[in-house]
Amino acid sequence: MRAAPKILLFMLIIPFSFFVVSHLIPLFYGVYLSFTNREGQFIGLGNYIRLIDDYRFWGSIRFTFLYAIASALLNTFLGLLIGVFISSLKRGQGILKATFLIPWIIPMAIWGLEFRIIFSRDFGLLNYFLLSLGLIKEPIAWLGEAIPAKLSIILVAVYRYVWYSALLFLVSCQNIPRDLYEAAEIDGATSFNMFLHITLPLLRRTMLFVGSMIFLGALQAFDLIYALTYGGPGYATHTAALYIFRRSLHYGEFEYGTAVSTVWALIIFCIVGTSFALLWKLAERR
Amino acid sequence: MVHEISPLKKKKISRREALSTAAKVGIGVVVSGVVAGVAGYLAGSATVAPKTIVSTVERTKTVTRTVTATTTAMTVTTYPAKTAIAGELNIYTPAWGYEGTDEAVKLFQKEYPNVKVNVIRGPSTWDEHVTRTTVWMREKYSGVDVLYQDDVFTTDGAAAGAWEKLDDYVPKSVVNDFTDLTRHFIELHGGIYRIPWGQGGSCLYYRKDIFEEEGQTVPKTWDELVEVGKILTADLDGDGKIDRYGYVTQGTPGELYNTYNEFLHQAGGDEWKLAPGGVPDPKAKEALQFLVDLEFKHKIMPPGITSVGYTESRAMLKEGKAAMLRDWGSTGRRAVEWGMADKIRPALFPAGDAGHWGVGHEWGWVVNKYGKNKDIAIEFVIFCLRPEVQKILAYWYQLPALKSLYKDKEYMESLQKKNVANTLAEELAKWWFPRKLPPGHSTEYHEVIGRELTPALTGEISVDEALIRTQKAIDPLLPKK
Repeated sequence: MRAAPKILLFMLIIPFSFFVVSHLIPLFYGVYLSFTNREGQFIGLGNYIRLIDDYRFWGSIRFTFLYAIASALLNTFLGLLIGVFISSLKRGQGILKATFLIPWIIPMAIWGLEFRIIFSRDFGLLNYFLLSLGLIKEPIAWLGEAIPAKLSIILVAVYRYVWYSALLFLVSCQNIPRDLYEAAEIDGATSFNMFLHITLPLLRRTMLFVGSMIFLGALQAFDLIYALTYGGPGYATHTAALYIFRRSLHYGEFEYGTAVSTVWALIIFCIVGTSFALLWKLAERR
Repeated sequence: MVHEISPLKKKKISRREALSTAAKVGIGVVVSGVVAGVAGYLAGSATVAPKTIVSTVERTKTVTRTVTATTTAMTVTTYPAKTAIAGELNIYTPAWGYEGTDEAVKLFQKEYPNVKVNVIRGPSTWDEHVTRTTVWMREKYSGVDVLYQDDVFTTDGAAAGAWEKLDDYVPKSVVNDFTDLTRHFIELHGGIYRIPWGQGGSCLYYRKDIFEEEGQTVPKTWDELVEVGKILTADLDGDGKIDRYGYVTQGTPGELYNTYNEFLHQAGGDEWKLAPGGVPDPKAKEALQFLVDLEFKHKIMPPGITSVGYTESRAMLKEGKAAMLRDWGSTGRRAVEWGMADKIRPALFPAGDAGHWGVGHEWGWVVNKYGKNKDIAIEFVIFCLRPEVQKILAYWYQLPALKSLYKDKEYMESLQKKNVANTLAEELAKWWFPRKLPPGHSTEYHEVIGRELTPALTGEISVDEALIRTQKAIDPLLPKK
């Protein structure tokens, strides 16, 4: 093998230096901070031991997983249905594709604020419509109780991301060779059979990709929840990222906050590693 | 994987197709912009826009200064310009301090023409203000010299050594002139760390027109609150749904702390002793049970109170969807701005066993110990202690922090015209208590109480459990004996 020209080495050093300064140094400094207290004294595993008893942290982990799993499943399932339906349309696909991008363009914080107004018990549009249609008798405090608040957040997130996953499924559907459907049609297969035996198996990898991406993205959820509920009522809708933010930047406990984020980073690292190993295996099997 | 799902790249796109797609995306962007704009407008309308103040100050010994917000003119004394002092001054204020800051800075610059003042206009939400102040304090940020802060951050900053102690700079005569509430805070902080804009606090607001229509009088006790609240909670159009609630408060975490703390003091409890040793204190229990009962048993408060913040609760009072509201003095000013000064009136809180207590609080200037221009900063905050400047600052707050200003009848009348809460100033001030914010942990402390009590108000856990959990959460934050 030929040795790389020196110029290439220099070209690598510059971005790598930036990476070291912007990522690696803060990362190691953060880990170091997690072993100290507010006064900067070394306290060993003190912050990590405190974490074991911190039920608010574990509560935030539970909600993060609930949110991530629900988002991934709903987005994948609904995105698949919408994508397949749109791909079956003879006309109007172009305009629909453009329309699907609209929710994607709106910043998450604005999205959250919009829905905070929509979900308001006494002034919100949602209760107004539900009451007008006679579907509920009394207005619902969507963001005022734990279960409705959790449900509201998941629905808002799905409502935002489902169009993106639908777009990915639509593109994948268009990539399936038409002759497979024509052959099946000649053999007398119904539309449902074709969906079940042709579309679904060939979209398997897209499903996995969409599900993984949404799941991993949802593990980092912050802005939507911050804008919509501030993590409330109580601690009911705190995600891990929001809890880290609250501890570090809100209460000024950078040291404990970095301990929380180190543990959370390790958890995510394990999940990402497993996900990619799974994806790799599936890709190889094909 | 990405290649598999991106076959469009391989496809040759005609010019027409490209133009058509660009047009569609363009439409998408415009529509989303409109949607985002409307959302932004709706979100923005929840905050009070700064008013335009026309200020005419001349370089004479005594001048008349006109403030367009009211019809009252104020007299301001000016002094010879101090040109020897030169430099820069950086002042930070969140949105609710813009007007008062601008006024104080204008006056300061008349006298200190060689000082360049930069006003750092902060956020319009408490949460963002908290984040910014916390980071600055922790990082010993030097880019700001004077900050407009409340009790929470004055306490924490003083404990952290982030603010300059001002005892040596404030004349004894001025210290003696401070109101009782201001003196309480000085004691709590362990010295003078803040130059107050004024003193203020919470009270009950009620819709006088609704009370008159229903032939009711303002409740003076907890029992009367329930009794009157039940009468005023009504289905007005006969569709089986409640259109008006008797009482509303704010139930979001920081505010739930204040709401509960008021009931707790009215019952005679102590906010540091909610469930000492894991046993709920009877007074603490009585107060929380009463608050929970207002929603679940008596049903005079709207369900889901834990998601009701300032915007919703104030809108409910304004639109007649609630007949009574617990709120700060600033809502008395809003009542005037809404043209509802005759309909929205203040009252003492209904009394529990221990009285009509409401939270007394103050905002004011603190000097950053690590600021680059500390000397000029001290010069500025001491300048703001002058009675004529205090008059203006209190005008933008609620009531003066100097006792001597209460003797100026004309001025006090002007404050009443600006803020309906001030029509009851003397009585309210008697019942204001300073919160027991633990030095160094105030931010977390007050939010934790609100968040830990919330499950009792959503019916997830009992009152006893909530108090025990809350005590467990605040114990590490309280000063060690």
